[in-house]
Amino acid sequence: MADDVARIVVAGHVDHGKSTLIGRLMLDLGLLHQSKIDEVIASSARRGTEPEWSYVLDSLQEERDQAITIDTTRVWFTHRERRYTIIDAPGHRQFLANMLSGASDADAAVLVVDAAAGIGEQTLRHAYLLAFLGITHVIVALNKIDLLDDPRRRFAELAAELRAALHRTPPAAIVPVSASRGENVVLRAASTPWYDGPTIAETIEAIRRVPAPLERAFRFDVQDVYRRGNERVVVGIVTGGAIAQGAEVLLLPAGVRVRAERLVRWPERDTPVAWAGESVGIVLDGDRFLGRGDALVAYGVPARAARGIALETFWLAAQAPATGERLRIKRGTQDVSVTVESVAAVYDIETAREGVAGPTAQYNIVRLAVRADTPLVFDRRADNPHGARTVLLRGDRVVAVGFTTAEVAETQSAALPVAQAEREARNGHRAAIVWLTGLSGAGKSTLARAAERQLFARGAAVAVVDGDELRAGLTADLGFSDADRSENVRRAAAVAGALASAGAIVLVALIAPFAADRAAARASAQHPFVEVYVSAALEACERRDPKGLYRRAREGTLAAFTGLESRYDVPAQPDLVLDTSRVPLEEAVGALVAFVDERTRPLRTENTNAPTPA
Amino acid sequence: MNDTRDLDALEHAAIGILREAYATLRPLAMLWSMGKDSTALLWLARKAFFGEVPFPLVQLDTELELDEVYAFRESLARAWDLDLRVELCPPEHEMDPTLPPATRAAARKTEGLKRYLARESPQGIIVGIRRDEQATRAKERIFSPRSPGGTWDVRAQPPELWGYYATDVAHGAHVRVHPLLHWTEIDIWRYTQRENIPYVDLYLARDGMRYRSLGEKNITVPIRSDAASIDAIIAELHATRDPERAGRVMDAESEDSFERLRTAGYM
Repeated sequence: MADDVARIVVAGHVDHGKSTLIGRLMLDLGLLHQSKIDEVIASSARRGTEPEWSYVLDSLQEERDQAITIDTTRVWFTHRERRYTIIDAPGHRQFLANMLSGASDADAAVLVVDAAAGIGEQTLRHAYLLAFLGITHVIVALNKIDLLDDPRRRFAELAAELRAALHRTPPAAIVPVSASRGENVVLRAASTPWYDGPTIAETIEAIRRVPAPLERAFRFDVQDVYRRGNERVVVGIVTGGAIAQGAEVLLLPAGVRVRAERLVRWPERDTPVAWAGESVGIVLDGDRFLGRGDALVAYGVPARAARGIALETFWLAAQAPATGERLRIKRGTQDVSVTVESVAAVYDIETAREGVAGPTAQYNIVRLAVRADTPLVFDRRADNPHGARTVLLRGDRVVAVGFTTAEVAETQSAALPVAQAEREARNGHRAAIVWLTGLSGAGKSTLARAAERQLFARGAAVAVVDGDELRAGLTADLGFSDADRSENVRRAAAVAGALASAGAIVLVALIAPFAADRAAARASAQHPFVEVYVSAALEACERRDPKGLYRRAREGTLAAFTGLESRYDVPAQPDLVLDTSRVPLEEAVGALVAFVDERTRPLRTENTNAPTPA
Repeated sequence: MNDTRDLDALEHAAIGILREAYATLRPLAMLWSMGKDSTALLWLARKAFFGEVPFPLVQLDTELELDEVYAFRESLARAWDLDLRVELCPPEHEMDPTLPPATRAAARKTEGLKRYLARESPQGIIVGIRRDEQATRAKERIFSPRSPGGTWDVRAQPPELWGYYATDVAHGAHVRVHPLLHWTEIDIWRYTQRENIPYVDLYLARDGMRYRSLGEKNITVPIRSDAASIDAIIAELHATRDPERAGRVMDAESEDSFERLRTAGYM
């Protein structure tokens, strides 16, 4: 049981009965001590009311007097060998910041709706915010069902209305309850014989914990650097994925590849691996200058460092953001001053209307673009919501919470061409032309496509230029004479160059039989150019004969076939040799990808930031 | 109960919070009452900073702690080479006379803390309170800003989510840091047992009585218990419905006594 904790936030419009539902749940599960029960009864009697079970949570004097929840309160209990944390979120509009605080780390939500009053303004706002925060498991409690004249009809109406309103996060269950009477909370109500769904207790038993982001790409925000003996230990929390001792990762915003020599803890010595959610110290290779605000990320995934950033936020402050205004942004352990460049749109949650001038910013969704004074490390929400979480401050007050959604190009350089270094910074790798040469059937295209898939999966910009495909279009006018073969290579090299100029790693799969043509392609390249010799033996290629070309050449229906009638110049000094007739395909692909990695690492060497006073 | 992965998660989070406090709030200090919670917290601080706690430990001393507690303080301060600062609290007759008697006695610690704050001007004070101890503490933030007078404005707390904490401190104000906020009483005992952390043996039953919560001897009473080991304490806590602070006289004096204490700056 120990690891199984369900964190559940209870949200909804003010006065719809959130605290009462929680108090009742605890009472009926037998979790309250007699002294607490007596205290609630006595406290209620002093105020001249029936036992008010919300007092279990609403401990603040003012809350008891005004009958509202002011801040989030958590209660903990164990039920059927499982631990629960129940977070009571305030429903009043002015306490939305507290609702966010309470809901931000929940696995699931119970949205309480007063069946007599219907859907309230905060019902929609809370429902929207739950989806905004990424909470997808939502249970609806239709409360005060005992106050209705025709509960069955009203329940059906409201359930339909709610399903329409909650289309972003369709509810897992809609339960008719009376929190004050304890109907369908833990005990099934005799008054709702027409309802055969689960009770609230049964719905929360079905909640599963949202797992730590282990499967995501590695992310680590540097909190501090400690000097320990002769070593500098970089401390922080792994916020995504995992890191193993000896792993190579990218240091951002510098864009330098570094190696985690050791992962350290105390009093234990080294640890082989650190997972998402863990605090760990990392000793890096070499004498790196880095400090709080830097980040270590998996190499080849699309984390980025940029000054222009687009954001989607939930705006908390009364004062809307203004173009040109100075704000602060926090992302990871970075804390950077920014200038608001533009406010793209304000989305009114209640009316589902969007505009720039119309809706008020406060308690609505605001999309804006900012320019940071120094590069900010972030993920786009579409790639990795966890790494996109951010807060905006005006002075020392949090004015908005939200996500980084995209990088925004530099305004002042709008007319300038995009520099290769900018592409590298965004892609996390250099562009390169990787030329796979070899006989027909050696496996060039197969290797290129498999490597493309792996690189693409890691977020690299990658493209394949395949000889056979070119001959269907760009080089359809060419035959197989020596001159045409040379022209074929020249055109393929030109296409590869254009793609590499767009920042891509270009895998060229082309026989390119003549050494002179390959040398010319290399000489004309404006980007790193490497030659990979796919060296399967002629007999193996002929045996494979995937396109039936060897057979046709032998039959005499295909002239000037490379390796038979036409010569193939074996590369004298290839950068890599892959013999596909000797090693299995996966091994060859692995070797090719490792080689490409090696050759496309960013070149920038050292962070020029001031050294950390460790 | 041998599965302690939940404790790992709590430990990693607490270490992260301690490092965040040290990186953002200077000068920093930690309150140590020698109780089970703040001693477990002290152990976590040693883990966070690789064996050497880089800030002072402050004990708010009313000179009314139990003898065993003082003996524990001396032995651990020596064994762990702690930078211990004992802050003597002002006498009870200087407290707000409208407070009930035991609450007034507890308020002495608030005043002792105010003296320390006035003299040392720390930006951050680390405190080992937990949300499950008492309903008012359940409202707390992990980083909880205090006014220059040390008071807590529970109605105007900043939002706290995704590990972004309030680390901006106005002149003369400070931030209370609560790394154990999400821990429960049972978590503390399981962690103390797993990590082999020292504790005052008054927590163990002798002659059918034990202290569940250690306060000053004039305002704390032991409870009936036969729990003479940590295993027995954990078993007892799983079964009990009694609140932890049942032995603290001040909590029961009036409905809002603890809230009044905390708003004024109590831990």
